[in-house]
Amino acid sequence: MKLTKYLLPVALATLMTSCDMCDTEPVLPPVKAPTNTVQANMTILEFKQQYWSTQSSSMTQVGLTADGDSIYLRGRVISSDITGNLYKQLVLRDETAALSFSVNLNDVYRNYPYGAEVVVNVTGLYAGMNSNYFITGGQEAGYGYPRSIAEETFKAAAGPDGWPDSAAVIATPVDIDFLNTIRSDAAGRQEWQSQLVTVDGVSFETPGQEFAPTSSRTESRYVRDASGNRLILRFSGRSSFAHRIIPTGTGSVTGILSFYNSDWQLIPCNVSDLKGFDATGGGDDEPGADDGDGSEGMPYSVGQAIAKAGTGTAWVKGYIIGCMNSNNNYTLEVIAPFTVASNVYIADKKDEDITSRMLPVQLVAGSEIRAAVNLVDNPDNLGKTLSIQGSLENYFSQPGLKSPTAYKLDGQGGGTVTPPAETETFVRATTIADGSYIIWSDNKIGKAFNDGYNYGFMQSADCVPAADGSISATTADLYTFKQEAKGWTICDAHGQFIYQDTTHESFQLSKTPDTASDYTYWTVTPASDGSFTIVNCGTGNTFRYDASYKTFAGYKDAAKGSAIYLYQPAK
Amino acid sequence: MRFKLLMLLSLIGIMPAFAQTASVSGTLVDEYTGAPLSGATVMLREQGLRAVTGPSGKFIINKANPGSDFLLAMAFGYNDAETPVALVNGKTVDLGFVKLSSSDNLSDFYEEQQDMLFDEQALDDEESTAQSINALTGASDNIYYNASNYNFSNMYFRFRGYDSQYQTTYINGMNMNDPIRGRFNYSSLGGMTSRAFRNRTTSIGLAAADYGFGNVGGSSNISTITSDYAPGFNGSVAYTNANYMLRAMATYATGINKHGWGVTVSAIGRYANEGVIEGTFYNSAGLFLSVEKVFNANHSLTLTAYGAPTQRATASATYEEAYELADNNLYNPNWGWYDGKKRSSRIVESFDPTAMLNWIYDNKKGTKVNTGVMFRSVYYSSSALNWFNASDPRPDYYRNLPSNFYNNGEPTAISDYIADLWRNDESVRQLNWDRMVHTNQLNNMANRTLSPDEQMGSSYILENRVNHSLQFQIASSVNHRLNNYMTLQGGANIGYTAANYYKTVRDLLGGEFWLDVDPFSQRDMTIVPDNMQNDLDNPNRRVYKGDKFGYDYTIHATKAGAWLQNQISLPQWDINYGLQMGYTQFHRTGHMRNGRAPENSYGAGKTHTFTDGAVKIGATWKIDGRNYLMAHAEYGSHAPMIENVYISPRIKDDIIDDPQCERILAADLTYGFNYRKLRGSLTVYGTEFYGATERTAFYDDDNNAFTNYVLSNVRRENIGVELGLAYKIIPSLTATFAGTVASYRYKNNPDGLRSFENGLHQDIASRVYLKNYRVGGTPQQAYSIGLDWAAPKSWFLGVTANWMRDSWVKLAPVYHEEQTTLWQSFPSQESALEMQEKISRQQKMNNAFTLNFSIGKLIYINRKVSMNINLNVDNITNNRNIMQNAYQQGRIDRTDWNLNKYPNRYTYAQGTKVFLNVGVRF
Repeated sequence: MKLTKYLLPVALATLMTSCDMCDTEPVLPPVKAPTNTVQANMTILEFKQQYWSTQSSSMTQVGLTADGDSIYLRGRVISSDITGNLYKQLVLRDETAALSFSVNLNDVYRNYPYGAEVVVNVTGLYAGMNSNYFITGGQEAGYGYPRSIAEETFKAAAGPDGWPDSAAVIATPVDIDFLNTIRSDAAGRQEWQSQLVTVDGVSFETPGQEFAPTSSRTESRYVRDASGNRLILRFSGRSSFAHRIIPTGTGSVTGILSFYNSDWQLIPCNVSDLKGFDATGGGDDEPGADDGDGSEGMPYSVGQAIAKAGTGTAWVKGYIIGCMNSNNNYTLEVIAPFTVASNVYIADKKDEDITSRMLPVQLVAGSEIRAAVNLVDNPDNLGKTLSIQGSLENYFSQPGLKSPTAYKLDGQGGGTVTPPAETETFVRATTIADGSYIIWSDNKIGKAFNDGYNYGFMQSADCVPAADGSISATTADLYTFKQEAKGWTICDAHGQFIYQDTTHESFQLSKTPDTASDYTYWTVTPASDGSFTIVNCGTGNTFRYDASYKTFAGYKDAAKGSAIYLYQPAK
Repeated sequence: MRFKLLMLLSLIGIMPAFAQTASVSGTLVDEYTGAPLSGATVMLREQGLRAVTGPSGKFIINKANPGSDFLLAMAFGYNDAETPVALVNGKTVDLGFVKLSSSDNLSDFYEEQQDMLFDEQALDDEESTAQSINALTGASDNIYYNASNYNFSNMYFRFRGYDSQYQTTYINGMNMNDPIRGRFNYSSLGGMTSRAFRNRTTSIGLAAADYGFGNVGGSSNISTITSDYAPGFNGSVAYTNANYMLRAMATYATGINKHGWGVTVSAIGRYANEGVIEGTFYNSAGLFLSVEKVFNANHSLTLTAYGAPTQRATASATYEEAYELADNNLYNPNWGWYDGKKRSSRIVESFDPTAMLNWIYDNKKGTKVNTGVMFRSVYYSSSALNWFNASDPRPDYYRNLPSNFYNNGEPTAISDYIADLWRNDESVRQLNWDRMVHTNQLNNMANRTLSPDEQMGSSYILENRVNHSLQFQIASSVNHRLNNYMTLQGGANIGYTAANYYKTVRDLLGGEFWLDVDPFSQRDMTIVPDNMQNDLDNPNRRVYKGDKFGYDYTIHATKAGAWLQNQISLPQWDINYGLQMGYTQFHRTGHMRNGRAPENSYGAGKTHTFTDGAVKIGATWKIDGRNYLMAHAEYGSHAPMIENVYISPRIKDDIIDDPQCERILAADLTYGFNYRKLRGSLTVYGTEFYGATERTAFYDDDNNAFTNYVLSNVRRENIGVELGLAYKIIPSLTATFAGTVASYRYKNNPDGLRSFENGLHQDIASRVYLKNYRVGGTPQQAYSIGLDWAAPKSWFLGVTANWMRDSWVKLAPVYHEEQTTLWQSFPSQESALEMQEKISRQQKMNNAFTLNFSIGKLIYINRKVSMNINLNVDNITNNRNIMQNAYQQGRIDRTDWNLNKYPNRYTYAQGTKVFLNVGVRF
């Protein structure tokens, strides 16, 4: 039975090697872009030459090559309909020329991304001139020029090949002079129509107006170069450009070179295609397409401000669309009559209806800004653009703007308001005496109530003590403790007394409290760990901080949340 | 007893003449239950000759010197026993039943509670893979197996990663696994596993068993033969804070009287007005009867009958966000207040009455034949809400959660508001029955002015999803001793099942009727107007309470099998080899002509047949009396599980393309040792699965359709190491260690088939890239350290510390398909690859640590009566972050590639669990 001695180890070894134990790297599914290896059998220029017409309106169905094959063209995508300015069009370019396709596709850029190589079987499509502009499209009854190709037809005919390479798309610099020379020249038109070009050193003829105020119209806007040559730019009333303001100054414009009757027209595809001009503020909804930097000249759009919540003070611009009535179940009032003057909501679109895309703006009581901006006193501010400088922080539980210091209504400016509260250093108090304190608990401080509030939970803000135990806070958040006969009173920076009523754990505020009742008074007792036990004389509730709701209140449960510490100004 | 004498004489009779040698034989059993103890060591103390008991507890020590000696019997969990033996040359002294008394009341206590696990794990959430559990139970000498069986159950630990279809449970030698689902439903035992179904023999993994061919994950045979029960009465009352609160159980066995009759009866009741999970309840009663007539020394007939009707309400897996908002890892979305009471929408009703007749023939010369016939009715109904043209009423539907209102992943005013409601208002985070009833009542009011064609039935109903099967099986097995060294086992069986699946209306919730059409097939009515119909022969039928609707089909299955095995027991070697053959045939009969498959749903469908077979081989090398080396291997094919083969059985007869038998190659190697103070074993195992089939089902929001996803041609690999050690510090104090490190992975990229039950799209086939991803749902590393003290005066104390890690979320195939539109949103290959890596990353479940404590006392009131009190406190540290079940949802956001849009679903285990049991025995 000696063989059996070897049998088992051998069996074990076979077992081990047969299961590929060493290979344990999880396998990912292939990540591929579609490929299309079909080679072009005609260049775009040859194609254009073949189907060109001198008639302003024409249409021919594309046939086969001389050899009887379908005609395949290859080009790189140089257009994008992401802003909606170049709508339902796809422009391809090869080394010889560029070609526009009219396609019935929303979001062309998703199926044929900017910078992707595309192979198109044009046989069976229709090529021709639309007001002297060469376009390939589909046939539609009643029209003598190509209209859009049905989605399925185009998707079957055109296939992307490989990953998009947007770096390979470079706009060709031209000047208006040059464009004028090739305006009437068939060869020039063939080579240059639909190309992606940049024109430097131009300025808009009508700054200050919206690019395309009417949503159903596409506007022609003129730029002029130093020599006085003019070029038409086209802006759709449904694009991101629509309600943006035409800038002043000189810059460069990039776009697809279109043609209409006898004139070149430039169609910019991206907001960033207009570079170098003076401030371009406000705008229609297009998250991500904004390029403000928070300065007065280039304020953030509302979308940018929302993304930058908590980053400090900046300028934001948007349309005033309403105000929030927090006294009545948090109703957003968007039409007159307005009942609340303490805030307005601004947005990137005049008809924005999604609250999370709006920016609540605080209008501090007694300020000039409130007087000028609020909708109760100025109901026709609704729809105006408001540029406002303030602190980007949460307001109404979402990114907002508070403590504004300057503003511009429809471009007209207004002055600054109450100076921003100063930040000071505070140290922990161990005893209580008449004076002002910052209320702190669990790395949070109790914020001042908003002016005009007469009840609510005390909001909190992050406040982590420094290594030496001191904290940094603003004087606006100081609460004044004063010992009276019945107990301590606590007042906020606006002079409002904090007290409670029988039903709520939140606070009541009033400048004129009921001194006869016990609810206005508190007992303040230092505890052995340095905290203070603050108990309302009327309700018996204890002042605590609840981390799950991030608020301070007078809670029935004396052990709820965390204890209160008081900080006094460092001397 | 006469029995013993007869056996003794017959054995002496057949003994071949081995001159100058004496032998001693016997059967080692548990004194209390009579269950045989396998894998235990017996030794002739003076001569030092050893043997290990076989699967049926039997042992033989050969080549002994004649004279006086003592037989020492040692088994884990039992007090050592010593019996004097007078050895005679040329004869085998048969000691008969050598009884060992349990030193470990604790494992008894564990068994008391195992019925709770079976219920929880029988959950079959419509939107997940069905739960599978490891529940081989039974006295076993394998330290690792004993420890892992209970200690790791908090995380649904599966032995060697096997689903429960790879473990077979026999009752009286009959394979009781469900023919269609492949697994044994432990809930059918009604919780009587610790008494009526206590006589269990377990063979672990690939080890040979006397009662059947077994299965790769092991098998267990429960004997309900009346004469196997120790006579007496046994009653207990228990309190616990799990899915039920109170349990009362009583068992009485008469033993076989002088007329040859014997009866064992057992009754059980389990109850909770509300379980540990809010909104659940538990009502269950069970009855067990075993009657035997011993005709003569050779023949006996036993009738076993049992059943346990149960009604209970369950929770279901939900999102992390919901658990956080409810601030409770046992949050249950399935209940709401109604009429001043908590009303649950997920009520499970089950009743599996079973009757079995076994005729046992024992010629007392080493041949035993057990022939049985079994009838079983399986009824399982699970209730759920259904709605038509109305908003999803579930509180944890993703559109009702605050995260639906986030902007760019950040909370907004609206989401904060809804979060506040969730936290504070129960009617928001639980079901709002009033609203549903009110909506239905409004429909009724509107109906008064509408023509019959326009009238609307209930917008919301509660329906029962029912599976009712009838099963019948005949099986016969033989165990024959060929000679002193070899035994032969074999058997044959044939069975038939008719499983009927259908839905009924449980409650119209105040409405007048329900329209029997598929709510989710409503789109494109102009293209396929009949698409919505569930029953084309009765279109737009109105159904009322109790009516069948929706789907109605029966699977008819016939299974037959035969097996043969030879076990050879030599002084230094034990060898076994065997083979089995099986035949499966099934077809579907639809009772409704479904509008989505009008040609292919009604009437008898195609018949499918599969033949399978397996061979297994094992060898144990008893190196010396204390060390042994064991190796097993098995190669076989299994017919695919019938429920995995049909793509969408509710609507059509189609099966997956080219279904194949699954093939399994398994092997293990064990080194074990048994010294006075230290004993243990180390096992290395590996199993390869080829051509397996898996299925998941889920609701696909993008396509507004209930989707079935079948993976076929799956290759998996389970490999690992197991270690079990027991050290007797002092005779009454034992320290044990059990641990495993394993890897359960997919090893190929199988074929996936997605099928929409609303019939609006063709089935979509795609490749699923799963290679090297882990199989989810069981910890792949687990360790347990325990200390057991059999204290004086019959006190027992035990404490166990358990660590479970490396359990992965059950993956959904869609995250591993090629995403053909990914390139459109990530225009560079690097960024797209990065996103794909995020999509396919498999998440781990929380690691878990639990500390369990047990204390028990046995009180002997007088010579006959004893009382036992035991208290188990599991998870003393109240760890409430133990994820029990976690699975990815079946759908993915292909518009924004927001991986948080369809988050994983989880259930958590409860915190501390207390089990207090007081029992009396006489």
